[in-house]
Amino acid sequence: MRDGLDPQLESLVAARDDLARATALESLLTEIADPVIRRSLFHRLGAREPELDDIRGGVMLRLMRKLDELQRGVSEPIASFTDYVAIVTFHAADDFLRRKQPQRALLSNRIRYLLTHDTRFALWHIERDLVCGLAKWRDKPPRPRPLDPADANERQLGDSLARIFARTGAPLAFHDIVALFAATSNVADGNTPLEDADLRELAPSAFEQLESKQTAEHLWREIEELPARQRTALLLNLREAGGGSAIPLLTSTGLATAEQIADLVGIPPAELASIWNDLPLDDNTIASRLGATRQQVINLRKCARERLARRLSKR
Amino acid sequence: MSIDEKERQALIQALVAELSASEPLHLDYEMIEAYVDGRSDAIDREIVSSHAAMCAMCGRELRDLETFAAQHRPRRNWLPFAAAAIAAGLIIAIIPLLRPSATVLSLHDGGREISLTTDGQLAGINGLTSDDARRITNALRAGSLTVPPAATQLEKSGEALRSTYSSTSSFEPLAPIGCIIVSDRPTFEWTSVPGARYRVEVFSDHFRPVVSSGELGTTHWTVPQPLARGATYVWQVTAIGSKGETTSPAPPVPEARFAVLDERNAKAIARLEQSQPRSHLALGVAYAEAGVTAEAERELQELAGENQGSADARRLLQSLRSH
Repeated sequence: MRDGLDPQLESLVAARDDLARATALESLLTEIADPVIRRSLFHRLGAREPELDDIRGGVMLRLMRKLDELQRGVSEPIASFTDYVAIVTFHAADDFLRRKQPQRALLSNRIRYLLTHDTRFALWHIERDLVCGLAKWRDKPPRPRPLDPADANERQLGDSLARIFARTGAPLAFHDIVALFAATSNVADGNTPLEDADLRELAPSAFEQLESKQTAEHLWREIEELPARQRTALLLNLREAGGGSAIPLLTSTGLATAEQIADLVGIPPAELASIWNDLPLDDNTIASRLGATRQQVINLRKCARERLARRLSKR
Repeated sequence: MSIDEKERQALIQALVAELSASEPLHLDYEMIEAYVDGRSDAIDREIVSSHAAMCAMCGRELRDLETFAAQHRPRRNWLPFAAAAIAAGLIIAIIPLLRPSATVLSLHDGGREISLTTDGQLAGINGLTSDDARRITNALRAGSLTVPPAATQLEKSGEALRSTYSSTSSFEPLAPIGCIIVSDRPTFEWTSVPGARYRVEVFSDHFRPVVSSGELGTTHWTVPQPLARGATYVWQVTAIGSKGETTSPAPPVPEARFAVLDERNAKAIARLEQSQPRSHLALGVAYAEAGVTAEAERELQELAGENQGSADARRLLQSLRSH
């Protein structure tokens, strides 16, 4: 068993043939993931959201990709599959709401900014929920109170918040405050079409087409054009199908010399030669090279993918 | 399939898998707030500006919060404000005595803060030649860039060619077209014709043959020997198939033209790329004024991305696009 791996995932990682793999995958997705996804989406979006099935499908797709990476040994272990599913679902729902209700998202950001930058107010967490109120109430739990729409004026956010808290005399759930202002601010997101917030999700086949339409040379040239840190985060972790580094393929296919690769990832050639057999590097090692955190390395790589996707889609 | 082709396919598969992998990045509120408040480190700034330039949703939220934050100064206790006001008053009183010049604009550039003072001094960027510094200062002061007429002329010829091809043909040259390129060993690219082999021919501006590729099985070819710097070239690609040969572009379609950056500008840019690899401002201005507009656009987009609320960065980009 791999260190730090949720025991629920063991049967998938240990699967040695397609049938065993498919059985384990189906069990994980239907018996463990699906109930968590449905519950999370119900709490976040309600049961009547017409796009619920699409969001659930999107989460499932991401989980399948992640589990495939895990099975091939190219992803770090998941300590709690249930928590992982909950987090992916939370982000998917959050992204959906931000796209579906863009004006409300802007309003929420502004209120949140004021609550954390005006010394009269404070914003804090009680478990996973955001709570807000006067600064002197910090860390106290919310107490639901009837709210008067007449107190909420988006154009005078600070004074409105002060008025609301004076009337309630107790902390409130942040989402209740946002809902109050949204209801009284003519926020009209109802018919807003979803926008292209994620190129990859909306056009999943775009990259597959590259195999037939684009050459390795073209992809490589686009990678060369990436900003240095994004390029480094991408290349030092780049893996071929078997999980080994894809960098040796760059040299064996004649796309780049080891010296050119060293230059592109900002490592002296001799040093690159010394770590050649350790490639691909894990995110923590890349992070220490870049003076970054592990999450920053992950985000730099995502930025690199976005840029490549955008540039390739323009061709 | 040859071993080389297998490895090539494996590489493409690795890249495609990489591009298709994992969840998308979206900026959470904390990242946006830290960026707006100037609390992000250089790496997070790069991540935020890079993503916001690609994602409509996050870009809109970032711009909105920047505007909101600028309009809503945080309310603080009066004491620190009063202390700050007194300190500011003292500084204002002392400034004329010390005679330092005031900052007229400042920009984030590759994680640094670059500023221009009223007396034309650039601060925050070291190692520039006097020419480079003068060019940047002039561009910032004027809010505009000077692109050589030759580059503009080339771009027009490229646009004329592309507009013709989009409506009449599927076999067409892709690059380089209508631009000045930095490398003196360009790679030519064109669309494919099923089952065809290809031949590329490069001519001087006066249509004298310069170099030919011989027959190729690929849709790209890199010139083996350097082309002359500062010269303009015309090129054609011929598809050789079982039914004969097709050459593109061919009259009456406009020629595919490009120029190789001249020696002086190529050296200046190479030096700048070495000394200022992270300065989008310095590189953007240098590329633009050398006529290498595609690279200038890329750098100035980066600069604008790092300075979302700055009219100065935006103005430079607009100036490049409107030349």
